[in-house]
Amino acid sequence: MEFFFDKHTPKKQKEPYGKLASQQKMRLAMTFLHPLRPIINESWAKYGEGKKTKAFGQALRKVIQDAIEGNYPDQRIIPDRVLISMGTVPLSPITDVVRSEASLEVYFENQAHPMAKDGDEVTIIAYSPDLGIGAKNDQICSRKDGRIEVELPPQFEQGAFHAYLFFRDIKKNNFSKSYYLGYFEPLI
Amino acid sequence: MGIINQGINGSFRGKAGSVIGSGWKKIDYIKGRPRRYKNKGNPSAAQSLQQKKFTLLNQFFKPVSHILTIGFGSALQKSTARNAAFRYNYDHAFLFAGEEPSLNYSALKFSHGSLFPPGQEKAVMLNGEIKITWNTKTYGLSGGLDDEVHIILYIPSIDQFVLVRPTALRYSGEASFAMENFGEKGELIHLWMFLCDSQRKRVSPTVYLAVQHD
Repeated sequence: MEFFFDKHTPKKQKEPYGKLASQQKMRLAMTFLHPLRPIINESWAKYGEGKKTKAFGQALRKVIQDAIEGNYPDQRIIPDRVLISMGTVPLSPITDVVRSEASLEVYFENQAHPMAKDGDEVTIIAYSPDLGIGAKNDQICSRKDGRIEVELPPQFEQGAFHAYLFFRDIKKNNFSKSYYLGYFEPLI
Repeated sequence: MGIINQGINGSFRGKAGSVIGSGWKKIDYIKGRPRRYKNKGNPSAAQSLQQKKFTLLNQFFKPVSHILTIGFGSALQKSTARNAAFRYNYDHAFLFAGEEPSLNYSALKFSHGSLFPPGQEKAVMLNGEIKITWNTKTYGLSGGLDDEVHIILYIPSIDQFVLVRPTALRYSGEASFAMENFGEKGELIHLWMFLCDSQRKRVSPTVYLAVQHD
């Protein structure tokens, strides 16, 4: 056993393939989710047994398991498989998504449902991991409104972004699974 | 004399025969006594280049160590701020003119984090004063209105850093600095800004701006 570090001893030639692949998966998932940590801490809270770090860890695990595609070193995140939130609150079917210069509007069905309450709040997230910027709706919208709008940062005019939508009950205890609204190209 | 606190696998501090135990930043080290190296003569061209790069970047970061402590706070558990900044910047911080390295100011980073930057950052020189503006909206997700905005100016002609004080907050949307006593007219002033939350736990990536001294 080599007890002392000797700078003249070369390092191991190659790290094992599986180790490198796992490290890259972790890095990709962390880079994608970390800026959304305040949201995820809430939306995955039920799966975190009261701990924010565990809640985030569960979201991270889900991304690593389901949302990473490809073989090392060409692994990549598939954003439509990423779940920003998790739970049993039902989603309303999306009827239309309208993107303008400064905002993103989403229309959804607001019909009554045994599991879906009128007062369930809707949240929309526009997020660009490349630009490192995101936006959330600043007005409280509920399921009965049938429409939600988010004001977009000016950087999104020149940069593409992903958008997600999810519902939560009025007590903020239960969430729906997030719905991927799509990838929006820059306008300019 | 070194004392092993946690049994045979434990760390120790001090000298035990020819072995020295020490610790730094919660990392335990065990070292042999320094060996005597022969003078190897002049460095090769490649070694010389590496030495120049090390000196250049280390000297550049030296005066702003305390700012790097904020910008690279997440890495401080097992490293110093300057070392963390050095490691993060080393691969892309240089431009080469022949064999002489110089710093690529636009690529230098003074922070590393996931807090959203404000966007629409601009710096203009007006009446001997640099005015820096940014977007104050947080869009519900992009940090808090009380986030601190750290602005670092570098004036190449006098090789000096200037920190904009008092530290501005995100909601103020602007900061200014009088340049009358600094630098030469016509030179390019390099400017970096990053944000950190009020608890200094989350920081944004660094944004580079440059402005011509009028």
